[in-house]
Amino acid sequence: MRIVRVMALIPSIRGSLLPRYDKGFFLSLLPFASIIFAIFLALACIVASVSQQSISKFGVRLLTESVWRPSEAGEEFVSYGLLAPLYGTLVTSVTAAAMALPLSLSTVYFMEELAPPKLRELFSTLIDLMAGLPTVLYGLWGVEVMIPFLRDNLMAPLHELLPWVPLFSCEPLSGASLLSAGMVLAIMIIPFMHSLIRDAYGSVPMTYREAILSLGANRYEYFKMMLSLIKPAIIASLLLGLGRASSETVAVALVVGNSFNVSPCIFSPGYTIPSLIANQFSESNFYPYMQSALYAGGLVLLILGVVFSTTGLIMMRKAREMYG
Amino acid sequence: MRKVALLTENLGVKIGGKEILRNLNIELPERRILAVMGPSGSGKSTLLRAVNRLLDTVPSCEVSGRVVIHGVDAYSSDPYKVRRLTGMVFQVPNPFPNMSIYDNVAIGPKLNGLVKDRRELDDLVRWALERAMLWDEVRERLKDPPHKLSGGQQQRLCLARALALRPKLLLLDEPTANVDPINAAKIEEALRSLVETQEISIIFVTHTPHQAMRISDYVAFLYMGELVEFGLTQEIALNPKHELTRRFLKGEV
Repeated sequence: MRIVRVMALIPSIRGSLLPRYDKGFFLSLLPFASIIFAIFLALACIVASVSQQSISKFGVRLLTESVWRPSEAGEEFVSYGLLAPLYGTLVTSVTAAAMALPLSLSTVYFMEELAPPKLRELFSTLIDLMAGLPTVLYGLWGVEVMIPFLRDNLMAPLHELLPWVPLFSCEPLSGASLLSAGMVLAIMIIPFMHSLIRDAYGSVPMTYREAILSLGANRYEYFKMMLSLIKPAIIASLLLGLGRASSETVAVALVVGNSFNVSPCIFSPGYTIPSLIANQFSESNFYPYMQSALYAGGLVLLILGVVFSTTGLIMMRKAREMYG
Repeated sequence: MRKVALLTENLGVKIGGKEILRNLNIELPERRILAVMGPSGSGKSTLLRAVNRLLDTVPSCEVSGRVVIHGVDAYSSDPYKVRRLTGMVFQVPNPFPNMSIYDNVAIGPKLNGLVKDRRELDDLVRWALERAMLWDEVRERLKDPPHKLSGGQQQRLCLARALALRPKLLLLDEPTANVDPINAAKIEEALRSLVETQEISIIFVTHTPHQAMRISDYVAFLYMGELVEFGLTQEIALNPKHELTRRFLKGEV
């Protein structure tokens, strides 16, 4: 009886009475398909229930303070605030998305409109390859090459020239900073954003392209109008890119500087929630509330991820509906 | 003596080595409608795209011969300028879905700097919509998105979009193929009145001989990339010189 009810919920099954052997096949796959949803639910429940302890102890202070003071001495000395990592997560991922967008758009234009077919193929393989590399490699490259380069050629000159601009107000020390993390993330999410935008770009029907050209649009105007035709997909790629960037762990941990710091200056070292969890989880068992506070960070990430992804996917669906 | 709106001399088009059009010689006087007819695959659409240089965007495409639009040699001047001289309407109504009805018409003049201020733009948009016989139906809802219009209205919106460029030569690629008969009649009426009242000439691609005979002053009959017959509509209707034309008019090709 119960099984029949489950099957009634699934439209493709409901309409037609399946022969017995198909029914058996369907039923045998059902557990495997549903296990994924079960795991997601379990994950959310566990993260929420473990973080419960620190949430009830610290309340909003968990998100509004940036003092991170583990202590074995006693509960009254303990203080955990996730403000700095939350701030760092948002700043680095917004920086990353803001840098990745123009670069993705220009590679899309280059590949779709300018590059000869052979070069286009090579490029697209390279970009897919970039997307598949282990992220820790980007972090290692960032430490070895990008950080020293950025410090000497971008951060130091900007700080000397415009020290009164809050963004550039602090002296870059090691070079590991919110900006460096943002840049490493940008490089990591470019392939991802690029392929989302490129798919949408490629799906604009020929007839609109011809219509734009027939109005006497030059190359720049043509590109601008094409982008306005795929605006939902661009917004979606931004949101999904933000989601990717905010959840990246290892590469960021290597270049962000790992310090509890809420400063408007993007040259200062900072923290992100994933890198905090990665750095501190192994010792979190020794201190009261610490593990729970890290889980609370995980909960924040979960919420951020769900928000970015669902809005991104809604936009993506909207983009797909536009041109059938 | 009327000015010449379009002149092609030995126009030929090859795409990827394959000959699509061969040795086309057409001379269309100003303020006349030329109907280009022929079966599918005869090169009608390619002819239009050779005239306004949309073929430039097709890789491995070679155009030979000359195209002159109102004294402007198309292939020795700026392609953007050529396209501005020639508005185009396509087979499937394709107003930009992300713009309002008003903006769809205003985009051409804006891109090409045809107007100085907002009032002039308003006037031009209204003029174009009136010429496309759409103004009365949309005057109250210019800010609506175009998908709220019917297919036939959308096609007239596309006509208005092309007209707002103030083109000398209007190119229409089977504009009534996807439109109901009432809207098709409206479009035909709009085209007739355009050549009668404005400084404009029209090339109209169609695969139905009846429509060609109904609205055109001149007819060009294309078959397999070659111009079989070109001349005044009345003469060809009464007395086609070529056997193929005769058979096409009877609906046998």
